[in-house]
Amino acid sequence: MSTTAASPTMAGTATDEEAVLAADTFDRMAAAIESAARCAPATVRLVLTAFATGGHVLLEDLPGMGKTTLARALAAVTGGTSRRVQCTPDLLPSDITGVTIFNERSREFEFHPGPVFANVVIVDEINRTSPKTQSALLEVMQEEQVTVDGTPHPVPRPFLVAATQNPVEMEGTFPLPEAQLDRFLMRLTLGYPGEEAELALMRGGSLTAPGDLSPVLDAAEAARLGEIAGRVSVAEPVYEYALRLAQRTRRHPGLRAGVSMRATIALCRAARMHALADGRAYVTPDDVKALVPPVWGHRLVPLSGPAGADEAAELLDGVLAEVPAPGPHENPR
Amino acid sequence: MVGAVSRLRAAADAAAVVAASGAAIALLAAGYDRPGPAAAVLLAAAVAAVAVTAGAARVLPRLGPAFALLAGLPVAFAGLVALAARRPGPVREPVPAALDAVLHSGARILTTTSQAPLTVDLIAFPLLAVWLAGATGTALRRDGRGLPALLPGALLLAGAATLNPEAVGAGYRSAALLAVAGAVLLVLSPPERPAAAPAGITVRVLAGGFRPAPRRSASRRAAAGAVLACAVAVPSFGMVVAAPGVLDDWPVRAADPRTVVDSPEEPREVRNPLAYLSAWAAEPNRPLMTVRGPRTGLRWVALAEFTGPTWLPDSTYRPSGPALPPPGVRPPRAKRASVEVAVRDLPGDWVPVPGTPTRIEGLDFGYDAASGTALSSKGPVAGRTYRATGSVPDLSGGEASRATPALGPGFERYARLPQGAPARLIDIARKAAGDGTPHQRASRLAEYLRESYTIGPAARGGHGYAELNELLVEPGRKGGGGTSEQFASAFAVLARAAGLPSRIMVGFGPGTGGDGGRVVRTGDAVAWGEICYEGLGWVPYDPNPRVRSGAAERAGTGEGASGGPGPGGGARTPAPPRAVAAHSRPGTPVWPVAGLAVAAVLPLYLVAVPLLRWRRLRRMRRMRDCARKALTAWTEVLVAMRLAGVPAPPAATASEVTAHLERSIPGTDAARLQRTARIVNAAGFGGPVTSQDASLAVTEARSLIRELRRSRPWWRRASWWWDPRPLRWSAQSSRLTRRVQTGSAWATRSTSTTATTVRQ
Repeated sequence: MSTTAASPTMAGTATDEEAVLAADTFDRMAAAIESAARCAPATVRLVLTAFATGGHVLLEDLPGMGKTTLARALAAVTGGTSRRVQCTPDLLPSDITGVTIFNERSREFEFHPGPVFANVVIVDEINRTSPKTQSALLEVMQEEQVTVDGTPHPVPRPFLVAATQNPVEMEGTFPLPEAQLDRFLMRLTLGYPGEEAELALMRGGSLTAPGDLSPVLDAAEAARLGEIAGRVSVAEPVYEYALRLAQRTRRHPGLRAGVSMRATIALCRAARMHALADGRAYVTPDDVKALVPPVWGHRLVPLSGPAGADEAAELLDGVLAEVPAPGPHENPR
Repeated sequence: MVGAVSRLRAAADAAAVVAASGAAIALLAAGYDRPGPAAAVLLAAAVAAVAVTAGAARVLPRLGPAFALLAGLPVAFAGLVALAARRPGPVREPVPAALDAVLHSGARILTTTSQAPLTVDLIAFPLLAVWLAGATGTALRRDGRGLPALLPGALLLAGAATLNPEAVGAGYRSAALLAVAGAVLLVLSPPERPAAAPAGITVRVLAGGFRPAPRRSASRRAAAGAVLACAVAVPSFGMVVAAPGVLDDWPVRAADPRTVVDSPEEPREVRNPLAYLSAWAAEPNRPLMTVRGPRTGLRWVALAEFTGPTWLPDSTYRPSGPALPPPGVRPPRAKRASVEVAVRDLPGDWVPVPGTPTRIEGLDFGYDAASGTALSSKGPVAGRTYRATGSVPDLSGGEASRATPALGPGFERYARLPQGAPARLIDIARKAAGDGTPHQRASRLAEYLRESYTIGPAARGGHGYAELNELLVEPGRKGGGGTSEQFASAFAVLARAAGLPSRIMVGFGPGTGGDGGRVVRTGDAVAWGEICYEGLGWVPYDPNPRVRSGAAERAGTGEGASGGPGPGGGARTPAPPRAVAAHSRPGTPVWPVAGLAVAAVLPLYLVAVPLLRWRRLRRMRRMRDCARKALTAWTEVLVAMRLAGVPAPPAATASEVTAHLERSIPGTDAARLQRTARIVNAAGFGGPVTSQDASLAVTEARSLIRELRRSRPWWRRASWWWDPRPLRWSAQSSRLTRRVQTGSAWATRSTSTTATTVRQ
């Protein structure tokens, strides 16, 4: 992700003006996406938070809930390109990363990029493809580059993988390994829209097609958002709070493994962006609490097996209820 | 005008600090034989400490309070040197005497009787303690701290009360003075506490003295101060006037620390005083001393340790000033007797005194409080003249008739008989004592000895088991002669065999002569036995047979029922049991004590708790730091929620707390609550807080507190401002805040206790 040269003002913490401008950008993006996808505003905010943080999103819901539409709308408002991969059991890694082909005319090998070379990559039903193909996504999700025949090929930035999976129909699927789940910043469920929204959907015509959405920000602005988020201040008690929560998951009697250090780092990064999206240059425990379920839910390993979204949410609600949150009066300046 | 008020205020402030640090002076001075001069010396130290420390802090403010404290110490030492020049201790040169006093004062105080003479080595420790209390109090006060300035004085008062547990009246006066000083300091305290710096040290800059209070609040402060002062002063006055009278007989007393300290012993080569009696009985006309004053007997030595072959006197004598501590048990109807004694030929170091001595002048001596005997610290008393004052009890009222023997902790040794007792001793004791009350049994023992034997001045001396066996066991010398030492020993041993705590006392009859002075001769020397009773102390019994023998006759002559310490004062006097149970002192009724305590504490409580809580709210409104103001308002909301029975869950964030409030208080403005949560979050976690935000948070907090109070039942509403728990909760929150500021809280506290201080 490209970064802007730091000005003297950037050396310190983010200013309130920067936070307000960033929140305005978030508001405009959210409004645009909500005009194309009937999703809960909180979900849209979380998707935008993940995008601005540079994380990837696993959308877990039933078919027909608007997962793909949401991903396409996100691609549209961010002014980038979007590609879609429909995963099947016979999908090969080269089908998504790209291949090197010998050009008879130029007598040279040429790289033909796969669908991952886009700003927003929609990987539909990721659990239907083979583990080999799933693992091909590991490098690109972590390193933001693809290595084919020994040659690295960076993907465009910003880069977001929005994978979807159906939690119900598990026959013939390949559940994602924990290492790969850990690569996703958030796991989200869209849920059913409200009655009014569903009626509007049935009537048709009230939604904007994702392709018709105008970009709200470009790549440079997206990078700027990330840079400002890096300067959002996090008070020591908030860090400590996140640590206590993580420690609680690691000692939880119902969990085989708690969250990793990568998970706590991801939580803090996302909390900064979440605060910025709210127009604040400081993180509060509310940001942490709002992000714990989506950021940590898919990383928990219960004793009974992989945690579904509901089970994870229940476990984490218990953890959040047990660990005291730092009060503002306990951290005076 | 403002300058004059400021100066007046500073003077009142300094006077309050002097009063606080000098509150213990009355109690400390009560431990000296001359309390007035001792109090004057200590008061001068308190005043000088406050003045010197304040002056040092004013002259060189940048060097800080530590410098001000240290600067005064040389002055304090100079004061000790000046005092040493006038009242030296064992060391005579002033400077070495002052150094000696600083080094040894504490130890000497603990190894001296409670009525210590006013010498530099015995007052140096209290003087330096008062000085440090005054200096520390001044430093704290100049640092803007009101109530903490009381702490040194309070600690000193606690120490003084420990050192002089018997000075009950002085203790009440000291406590009352401290309370009044506290009230004054509270009223005069600045409206805002100094901000705590991250290092944990507070710095307060007061330009030109104390900042005058805003004019509009002066009346309220004056009213609050007057109410508080009245609330403190009235019960304090009541305590001073009434409490000593009511509580003086309170049976609970703190232990005197001197009793657990071993005093240095100086071995003396002295003969057992009982051994003189046999020799003196054979030579009864040798003058021993001349006594001027009321006709009364004299007590000489108490012997409580029986080894089998002999009785030994007590040996724990502490250096003492002229005044002696009051006895642990006050005998009934004690009369004061003061005599001047000119000793001619009395052997040994023991000092004859009338009754239980209260004052001995003209002699350096040590005092054994347990036995009530005095020992000359400058060798034999022969050739010395002194004046001794004592209290002589009158036991003719039959107080002993229903008294219980003192057999509790500390008295076991008085009932212990060593091995080797004649086998029939127990039988003799049982038969002679018979059944009845302890006093009846003791009286029968004395009577048995008196009626069954005669005094034989020429009898062989000795008072151990062997001599008693020869005297008591059949056929013995029944009907024959014995000496006073043997009858006293026989009585004490038989009493112990009968389970009564006993000892032997050696003393003298009042002597013969007129107003020019009575001559006490060797024939006036007599020994008798004593039994110790609960609440009465040692009661004498005369076991000496009534025959025409010099010692016995003189001992009994003229003493009558109210005789003094000698056998005439007790053994013959115990009257047959009467209905009056004089031994059971009028019991201290509990209700006046409880009532007094409630009367003293209740007004203080009723005024202090709302005032202190009101002060917190006032301080919140007047805070200048916007973030602190908002956070303090939030703390008060959390405290009010807890008080209202809707405590915020420990895991709740500020937003969730406001949501909780919205559910708990119907009709609250959700938008305002969210705005409040946002402000306090900004204040607590690094966001901007404007003065408008802070004011809004305070307004909202006050509104919420009001609503929370309204949500309670009427009786909880009525007691809302009198509930003291919020003070503790707020203090806990403040402590936590300070710990967080110093960066230690989150590193040390456990997960289970995190952030629960205010919420639950």
